[in-house]
Amino acid sequence: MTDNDAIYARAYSRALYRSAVERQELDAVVADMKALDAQWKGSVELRRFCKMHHPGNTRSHELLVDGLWGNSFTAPVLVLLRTLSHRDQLEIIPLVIQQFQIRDDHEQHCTHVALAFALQPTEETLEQIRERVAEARGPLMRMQVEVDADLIAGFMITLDDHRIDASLAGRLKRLRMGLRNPGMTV
Amino acid sequence: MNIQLKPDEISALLRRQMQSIDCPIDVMEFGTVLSVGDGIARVDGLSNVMFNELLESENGVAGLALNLEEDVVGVAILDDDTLVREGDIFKRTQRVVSVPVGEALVGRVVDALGRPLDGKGPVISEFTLPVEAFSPSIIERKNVCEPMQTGVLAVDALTPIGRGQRELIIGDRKTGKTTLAIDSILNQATSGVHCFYVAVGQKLSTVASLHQLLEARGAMAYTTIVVANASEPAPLQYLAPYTGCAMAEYWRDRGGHSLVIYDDLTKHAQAYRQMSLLLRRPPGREAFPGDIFYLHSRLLERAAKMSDEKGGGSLTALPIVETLANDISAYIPTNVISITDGQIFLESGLFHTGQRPAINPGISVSRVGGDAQVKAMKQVAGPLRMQLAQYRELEAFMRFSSDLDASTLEQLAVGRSLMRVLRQLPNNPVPVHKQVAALYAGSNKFFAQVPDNRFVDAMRALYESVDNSEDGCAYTARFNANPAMDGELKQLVERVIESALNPYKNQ
Repeated sequence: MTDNDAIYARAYSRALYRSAVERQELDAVVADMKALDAQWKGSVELRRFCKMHHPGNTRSHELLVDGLWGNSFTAPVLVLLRTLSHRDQLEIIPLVIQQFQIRDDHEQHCTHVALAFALQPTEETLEQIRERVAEARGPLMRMQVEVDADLIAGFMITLDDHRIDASLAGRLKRLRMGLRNPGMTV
Repeated sequence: MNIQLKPDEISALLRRQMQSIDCPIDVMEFGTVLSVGDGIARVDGLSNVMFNELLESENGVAGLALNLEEDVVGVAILDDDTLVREGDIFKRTQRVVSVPVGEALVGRVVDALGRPLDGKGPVISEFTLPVEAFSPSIIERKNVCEPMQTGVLAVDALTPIGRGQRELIIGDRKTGKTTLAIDSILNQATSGVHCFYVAVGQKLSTVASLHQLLEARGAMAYTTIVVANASEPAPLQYLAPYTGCAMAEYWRDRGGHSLVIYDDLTKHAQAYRQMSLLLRRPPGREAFPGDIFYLHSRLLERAAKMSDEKGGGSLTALPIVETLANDISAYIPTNVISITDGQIFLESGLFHTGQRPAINPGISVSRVGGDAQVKAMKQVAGPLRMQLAQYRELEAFMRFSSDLDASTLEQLAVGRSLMRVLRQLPNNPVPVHKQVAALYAGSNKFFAQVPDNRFVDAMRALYESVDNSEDGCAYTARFNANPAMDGELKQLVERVIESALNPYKNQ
């Protein structure tokens, strides 16, 4: 994979989402992407096959995709897969699925919440956080919780692209940066 | 020197410093770097970022949000881009780039972000200004009415510059553009003007030698140098002129006077082109982006003479543009010519014939003109342009001088002596009263009998006579009291000229 794969994946996911909305097949496409994700994670052979180079013309790539996935997916998803095959980019399928999921969550106002604690939090704490996020951002959310001893103490909450860093490690880092660059206004 | 270290003092100092920067909880909006290369990072997230906002990475690398695309932000990295990796985080600072301004910058050499480069310690100023700012409105301005004496006779006579004016210095490489600009700085020793020299895309050795020259001549007492040399990333070269302008605006807005030299805007445009192409903005003519005009117009519009209600301060800009093969019809030169209030065109042909400064009076112009000259200079320099134009026309006939009539020969002689009067040594600015004396002598045929091989000595003697002789001191005092060429001043200057030049005339 190259550095530009993430950018390509975003472009493909954007185009797929728009196509699904225009054809009023969004739910079906979402289901197809989940199925594709399950296939990718469940099949080593599929992953290995998609990482190989497949030369050929447009028709041969159509046949390739039909041979792999047949008519099990909706038209927008099949077009996407044929395009990826033609451009020898089948290996970025997981990135496309990830970006599509993020886009769908964003459109559905589903907040990605990532919680990191220095110590294992209680259920009561998690429930309080869930309630506060629901008040601020709406009830739909995907929450990930992890315990990270590198935080030393405190916690860090990430809501989509906002972060609240109340950890001791973060505080020490800010102090270190401030002492290293005195008098700087940047 | 023994320094007594007191642990209590050090710990108190550290505690104070830490209290000022301690932040128990940090709330930030951030984005994740998707890819980085060639000084540009593409960042995911930052959904509320503003255009031109300053961003900061976790390891202190600064960046500018320059491309706001649908779901990716193009960030120009202002430091070494090898410090940024995929997956790193850029957070919003919710402000534009600001630089320190004020007294703390005087005598310093700094980079485009105001960080010191001269090893004299940190620049600590209580004032900061954003590098991008609105230019003064019409109501806040006043007509340019005060002269900005450059000390270069050819400029002060033919293309006079006023405080608040933008005068372009344009020419090929090695024609004396920077020398002209440095002379302008050297001449501000007693004028109270704060000078800023912005070096964009130049060799550090060149900037170092300029710094040494200014230091040796005492000019660093009122000058600041902003450096974005050739090895700096393109975003810093792009920012440097705006940084210099912001530092000068501090004085302008407080009733003071400042002079900013942008050396040079051609390299500034090239750096901006590089950035724009890497940000995948659509290229236009000569691959420059579509807003290349706006890049320079918004910079130069900040030069102004402020109204009396706003303090009467001024910011004078001397942008420098390099041409190729004397082509002033190229893209960037024509852009900047249309923005500025005049141009000084330095010709390589004139330079190589020994006419230095190599100013072409035919196409050099100042749109402010006589409003930026003292009365005496206006009176003496008034006919100068016409005389030089006539001389240039007659130059072609010089090879047939034996066939020319007496009046034509006389015109040629006057023109030739005027051209020689306009020659000046580099880094040797001449005060205005001496310039007036020299031009008066040239225009009124006082040099007619001075042979060519003694001309330089005669000029030197004239300047020394103005400084040291009794008539010269009287002339200087009278000039300072009322710089108008009336009968008394004329008599004084003629006495000075005659006594200085007589020993050098052919007997």
